[in-house]
Amino acid sequence: MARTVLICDDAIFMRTMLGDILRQASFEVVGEASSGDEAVQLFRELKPDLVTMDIVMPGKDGIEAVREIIREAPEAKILMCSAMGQQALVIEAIEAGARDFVVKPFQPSRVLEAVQRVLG
Amino acid sequence: MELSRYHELFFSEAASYLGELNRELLGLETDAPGALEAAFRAAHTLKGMAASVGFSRVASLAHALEDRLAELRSGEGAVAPETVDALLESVDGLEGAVAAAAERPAAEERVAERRVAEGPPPHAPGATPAAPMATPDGTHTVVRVAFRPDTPLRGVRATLVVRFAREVAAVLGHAPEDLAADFEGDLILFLGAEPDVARLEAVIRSAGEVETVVVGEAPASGASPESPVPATQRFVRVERRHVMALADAVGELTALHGHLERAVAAGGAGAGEALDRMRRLLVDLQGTALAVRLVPLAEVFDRFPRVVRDAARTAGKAVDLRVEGGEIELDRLILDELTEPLMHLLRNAVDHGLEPPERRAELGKPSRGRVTLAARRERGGVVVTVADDGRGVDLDAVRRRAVDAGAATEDEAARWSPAELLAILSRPGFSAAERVSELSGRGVGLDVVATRVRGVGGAFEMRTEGGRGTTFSVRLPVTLALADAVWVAVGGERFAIPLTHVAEVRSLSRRQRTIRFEGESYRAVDLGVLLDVPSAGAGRAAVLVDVAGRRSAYLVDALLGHERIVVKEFDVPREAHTLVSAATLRADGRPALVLDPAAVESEIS
Repeated sequence: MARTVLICDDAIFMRTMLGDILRQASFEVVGEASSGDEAVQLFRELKPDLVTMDIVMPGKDGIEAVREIIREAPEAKILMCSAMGQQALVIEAIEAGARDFVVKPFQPSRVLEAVQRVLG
Repeated sequence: MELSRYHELFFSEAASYLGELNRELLGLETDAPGALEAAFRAAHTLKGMAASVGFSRVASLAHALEDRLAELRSGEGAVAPETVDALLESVDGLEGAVAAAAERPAAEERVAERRVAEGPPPHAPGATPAAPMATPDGTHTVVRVAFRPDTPLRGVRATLVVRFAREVAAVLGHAPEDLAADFEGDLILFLGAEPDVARLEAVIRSAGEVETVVVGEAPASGASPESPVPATQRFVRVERRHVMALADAVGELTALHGHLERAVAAGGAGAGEALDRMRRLLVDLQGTALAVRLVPLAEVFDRFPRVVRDAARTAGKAVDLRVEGGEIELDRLILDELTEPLMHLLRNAVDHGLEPPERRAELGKPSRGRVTLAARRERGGVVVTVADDGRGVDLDAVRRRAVDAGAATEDEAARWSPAELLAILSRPGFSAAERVSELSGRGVGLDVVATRVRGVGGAFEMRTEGGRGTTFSVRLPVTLALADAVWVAVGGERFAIPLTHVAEVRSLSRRQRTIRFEGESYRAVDLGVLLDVPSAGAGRAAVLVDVAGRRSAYLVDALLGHERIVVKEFDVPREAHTLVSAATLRADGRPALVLDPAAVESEIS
C-alpha cells in the first residue's frame, strides 16, 4: 500500500513540485494545505504517514501547526521545508517536534533521503 | 603508537613553516630568488611531519600545495598575483587544519587511523561503528560528527544531531556552542561516559547529511567545551637555556631550604647568609621567568606583509611595506593583545591613509604608497609605529564633526591642538561615524585600538600632516609582569607610577606649584585630592606624566625613589578603583597600588 502524505505550503508551485517528487517515489498525496489552520484540520481528517510543512504561511504559521499536530499526535512525522536563512525558525520547529527538514531549492534526492529517514 | 608526546613539537614547528610559506609565497610575486624552492620545501616538510604524527587532513592539504608548487617550478618569471592569491588561500586552509588538529589532536588522529583502516569515509547511513574508546578516568566521551561538505543549514542539522543524541546519551555540551548561527567544519559532542556506541552512531546518522561519526575519548589536554584554549596560545617556544636556568634555580632553592631548616634548628646560626643567597637567587629567577615571557616582535610582524598585501589588492592600491625592529622583545601577553590593533592600523593605512595610485600621480607622489611598521626601545618600554605617506587627516573636517556632535563649541574646537583633535577621533562612537571616515580618511575603530592599548598599560598617539601622511604610535611596557616605577608618597599612602608614562620628576620648593619642562609650564594637580587620600599637605615634589603626548604634573608629598616592581592584576571590579590599574608588593611585604596615568589623565581633563 502506498504511503500517504499531506503537503502544506501556501505556494501552489511548491506543492506541485514537492508532490511530483513524492509521487515518483510512489507516495500518495492525500491532501494539500495552504495555511497552518488547514494543515491541522487536514491532518486530523487524513491521518497521513507523512506531513511536509512550509514555515511561512498566512494565518497560523508552520511552526504553530507543528505544535498543534504534535500535541494531538506525538508520533506524527513532520518534515519541515525551509529556505536558506531560516535557521532559527527551523530550530524552533524541531524543538516543537518536527523530525527533519529540507532546504529550498529542493533537490529530489535530498527530499527523498529526508523522507526515508523520517519514516525510517 | 603513542603520538601525543610529539604534538607540542609538531605545533610549534608547524607554525614556523606556515609563517615561512606565507613569506615565501609573497616573494613569488616579486620573483624573489629561491622563494619557490623555499615554499616547496616548507610544504613538503610540513606534509612529512603531519603524516608522521597522524594528522591526515594537514598532510593531504600540504601535499596538494606541494603539488601545485611543483607545477610552478617548470614555469619562468614572477608568478601571477591571482595564482599567489590561490596559493595563499591554500595556506589559510592548511593553517585552519593545523589549528583544528591542535584543538582536538586525539580526534584528528583517530579520524586518520580510521580512514586508513577503512578507506574513504562511507556516505551511506549504517556504516561500521567506530570502536568505543574508554576514557581513562571515565568522565567524558567526545564524538566528532563530520557533515557532507555541501550540507545546507549545517547549524540546524547539528541541532537535530544533538537532539537525537540526547535520546541515547547524556550530552554535556557541544562545539560550536551556538548552533543557530551557521558554522563550518565538524560538530563535536561532549558526552557522559560510556554511551552505547552503536545506538549513538545510528541516531546521529538518522539526523541526516552525516558523513562520519568518530567516537573517542576526551583529549588529554582537558579542554572543556566551555573554554577551549585557542590553539595559538597553548604552545610556546622557549629557549633551552631559560628552561635549564629555571631547573637550576629550583635545585638551588631546594638546597637552600635544607640549609635554612638546619640553621633554624641550630637556633638561627647561618640563617642570615642563607637568606642573602636566597635573595640573590630570587632576583635571578625573576629575570629568567621574565625572559620566558618575552618573544621577538617578529613573531607577529611576520604576518603583516600578507595583511598589507591583501588589503592593497582589495583596495586596488600599490603599497610597499617596510618593517623594522622585529628583533625587539615584548611580553607575549602584550603581543597577543597587540596583534589585532596593529593589523587594524595597517589596514586603515592602506584603505584610508594612502591615496589611489592615480591621485598620487597627480600629486607628484610615487604611485606606490609606503607604509612603515617600526619598533624601537624608548624610556624603558617599546614604541611601535605605523606610518603612511598618504593624505593625512583633514583636521578641519574633524573640528566640524566635533562641533556637530556636540563634543565642543566652535570656539573650543578652533582652539584645539592637532593632538587634541586626534584624541577626539579615538573616542568611542565618534571615530566610527562614517562621515569622519569619509572626510578625514581616518577613524574607523580607532577607539577600539586605543582601548586595547590602554588595557596593557600602553598609550596611543597620532601625528598627521596634511598631504604628507599619518603616524600612529603605540607606547608599551616591555612586560605586564614587571614595571619600572617611581614610588611617591601621597597623604599617608604610597603609590607606584609606571615609568613608561613619567617624563620628569622634580622636587619643589615651599609653595612652588608650577614646573617648567621643555619650554612649557605645568601647574601641578594635587594627587591627594584626586585619589581621595587625606593629604599631609607637604606637596614637596612633582611628577610630570606624559600620556599620548598630553602632559600633566602631579603634586605629591615626596618622591621615594625608583624601583622595578612586580605587577599583580586586580580581580575586584574595575569601577571600584578607577584610577589604579594594578597592585604590587612593597619591600616590606605590604601591598601598594599602581596608578593608571591614562585614567588619571582623563579624570583631570
